[in-house]
Amino acid sequence: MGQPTVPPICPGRWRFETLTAGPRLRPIMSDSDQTVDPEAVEHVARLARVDLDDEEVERFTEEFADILSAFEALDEVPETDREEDLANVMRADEIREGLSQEEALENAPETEDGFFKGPRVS
Amino acid sequence: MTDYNGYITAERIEGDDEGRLADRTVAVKDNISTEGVRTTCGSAMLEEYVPPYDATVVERLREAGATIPGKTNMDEFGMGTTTETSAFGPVENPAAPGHVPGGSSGGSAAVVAAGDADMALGSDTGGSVRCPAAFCGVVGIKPTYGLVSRYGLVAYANSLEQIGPIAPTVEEAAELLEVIAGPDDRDATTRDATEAGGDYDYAAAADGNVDGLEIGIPTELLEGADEAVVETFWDAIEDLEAQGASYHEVDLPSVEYAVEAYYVIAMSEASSNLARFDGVRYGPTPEYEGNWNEEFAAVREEGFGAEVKRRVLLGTYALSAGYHDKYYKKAQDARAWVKQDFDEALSEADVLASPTMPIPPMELGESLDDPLQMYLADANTTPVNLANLPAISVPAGETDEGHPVGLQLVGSAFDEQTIIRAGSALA
Repeated sequence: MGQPTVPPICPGRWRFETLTAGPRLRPIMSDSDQTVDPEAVEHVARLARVDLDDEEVERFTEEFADILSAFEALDEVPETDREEDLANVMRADEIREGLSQEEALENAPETEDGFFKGPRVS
Repeated sequence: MTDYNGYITAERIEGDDEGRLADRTVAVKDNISTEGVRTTCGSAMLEEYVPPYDATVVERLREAGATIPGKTNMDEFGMGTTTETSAFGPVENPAAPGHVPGGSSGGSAAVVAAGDADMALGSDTGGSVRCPAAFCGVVGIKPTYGLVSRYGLVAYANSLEQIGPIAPTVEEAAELLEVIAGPDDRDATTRDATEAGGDYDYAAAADGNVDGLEIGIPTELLEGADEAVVETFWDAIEDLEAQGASYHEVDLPSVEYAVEAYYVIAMSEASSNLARFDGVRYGPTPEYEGNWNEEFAAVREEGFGAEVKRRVLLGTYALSAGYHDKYYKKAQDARAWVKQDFDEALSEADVLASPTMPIPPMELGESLDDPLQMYLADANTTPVNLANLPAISVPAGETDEGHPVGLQLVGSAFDEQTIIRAGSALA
């Protein structure tokens, strides 16, 4: 606790932001006046695969400024050692009864020949 | 159905003929899977979803002979503190008409408070069992992380959530906990309480004996709380003192950061967990022209409500390159700090006490326009989830308007007995 933060050895390790290759995210909130950029909200919505209408973009732009400003408090949290008491939980690799193919497909809006049917990929 | 909108689906599921809950009804929150009975999570996305299997807790209820009278209303995917974000409409608090029942397990607490079910199951990610129990004047327990199987619970934030009982009295809540607790090989995060220094005799622990009990009171959790709530809280502590308990104040500096840390972690986990709702395996029938990404985004615009979108977006942002260290990593530091603080405080106290909620039940419609204010209402409950500890909310009294106030007691990991024993001195 209380030690200075050591920069990660390999900062690129966490670059899993996009499902497709793309530029680094622009900051949603500006450091100077703590306002939020509506285009940045739209960009995150695209990454999260959630369409928003104009009204939602406007509303979220305002709300995210408040919420992200509150999250700024986390800057004051000291680096803390994690004392996790974790152990792997294994089981024998044996065949067990699971869902049938019919059961697994029961809730799908569209199926074909025993498969889930999704939209075209590109 | 009920006039306060407690159930989303009022379909009876009969249990076995015999068992310790054979004459009892136990309502089940609608994010817990019931084979053949739709499980909506309070979301339009799952309006027609019918699980092909039972959650482990539902199996255990049926084996104990309980009858499930229906699936209870809830905030969408458990995201809310008022049960107003449900796609099936808000629940009204039977104990405080015109006010919210708390959330997200608001339907579960409401049907118990109204006497329409003997008991209920809720799920608690950041207070979702304890908050509605407090607002509706009933008892709710958030078990130690790993005590109850999450198999069949539709995930919102896996590292934080537990299924917990809601009942009119501590003894009944303890009895229901006995039925659902215990390891499950289908949830690798469950642990055997007996191997962790505890045991499963919860109902017997509800003997009301608090003679010699040492209570720690974190001052941070009283700061900023509503006056009527604080007054009722101290009355309850006096009551416990009169029965032989004593108290001292403790400092938990880390809890000042708990709500923020909780929301960063919960939103991050939610953004990943809710990626499965793509309109292909379940969800509304897509009728959109476009490629996978366009259709996926359109289904999610239609299927998710505002609070779910808000959390998925903020979670996506918090995990993204450049912001992961600023938000998610700092939140994990805060989580470790909160754990240390609680462990230290519990080395000198048997339980830690606070008001469950810093405010009395809000009026219906009052809090939806200000999400940040709604998040801040979870100040006293979220630290417990971050620390993986057990906690109980018991009725402490009422405000002058007659609205229920809850007392929260937090215990050491897998020591549910001590919070049950202490709580049973009040309810």
